[in-house]
Amino acid sequence: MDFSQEQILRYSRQLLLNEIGGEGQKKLLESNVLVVGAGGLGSVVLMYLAGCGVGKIGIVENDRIEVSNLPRQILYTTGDMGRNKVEAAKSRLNEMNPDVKIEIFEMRLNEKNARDILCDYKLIIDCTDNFETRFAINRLAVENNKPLISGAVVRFEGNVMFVVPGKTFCYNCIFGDQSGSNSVITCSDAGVLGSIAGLIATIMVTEAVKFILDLPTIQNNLLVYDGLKTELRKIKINRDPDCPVCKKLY
Amino acid sequence: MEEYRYFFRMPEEVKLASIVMSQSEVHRIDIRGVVCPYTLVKAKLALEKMSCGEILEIYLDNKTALDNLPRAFIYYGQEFLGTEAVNCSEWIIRIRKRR
Repeated sequence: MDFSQEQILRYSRQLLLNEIGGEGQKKLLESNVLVVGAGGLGSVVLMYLAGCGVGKIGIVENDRIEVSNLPRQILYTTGDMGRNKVEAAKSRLNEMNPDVKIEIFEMRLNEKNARDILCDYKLIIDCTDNFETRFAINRLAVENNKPLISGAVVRFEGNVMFVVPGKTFCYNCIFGDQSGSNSVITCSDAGVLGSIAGLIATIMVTEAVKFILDLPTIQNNLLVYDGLKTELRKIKINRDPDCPVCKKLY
Repeated sequence: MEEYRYFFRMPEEVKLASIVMSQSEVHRIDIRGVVCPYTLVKAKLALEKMSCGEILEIYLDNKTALDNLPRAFIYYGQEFLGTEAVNCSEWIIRIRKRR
């Protein structure tokens, strides 16, 4: 692949990396990623995916921008309030990097639409903000055999995992189905510091880029960050052989 | 960390190699007028397209790149063969692709 003069300038700091270079940059430009949720995690994930030149990015989101989003959803500005997130995200990302094709889905991912949306993408990044949706996305990723990077933040804490159906544990192996539990909290109930979302999101997008480049990722581990203690732990996790979601793959 | 330190240290132990080029295919790029870090980016992209054992001749006029390119390519695991002055402000750097 021959790069344009502008691409050589734009991607120069990545082209200089041994792990990327021209060959890796070509892989990024020819790759595609589906991001579910364009909130606190999604804002940062989307910006870095577009920035580094991931060729096609899909965004699934059906919310509008509210003032309470702005401290952590840094893709949006005060002037965007009331706009659809997917449309605001698309225009901002197109401005950031015209090399990237943005495909928007103003909807929630569900059993009915998932297969049609997922079939065009090699990797899913779950940036949603509640357990119920995360369980659903995990199940859809496993059923459709799509690798999934899932992240979550609440208060000063966050975690990241990388699910490869048929190879690693899945989200359900760790957390079981807690969707009906009263103990489940979301960042809208419990609060969250925007920079924690940014930190977890940058880990997620780094894992995505490494996956595209065929570099080792955090597969088989759960990464947990505690921002109050400034502690990052990587915990090896085995799959649950009785997991109702993924056991049929083994 | 050792690799990192090495990148920023001019390797004095690197001798200008006696260049045996008769058996190797030589590729040439002219990056006169190009400034850092695009000197290195363009040279690296040219080297990526070559096969191991082949030699890249980099024709340049940027004094900073003259200092930086050899140590950068050594960091990348390539072989620095030497520098030749064309005149008082233009040089040729020769790199053999090793990986």
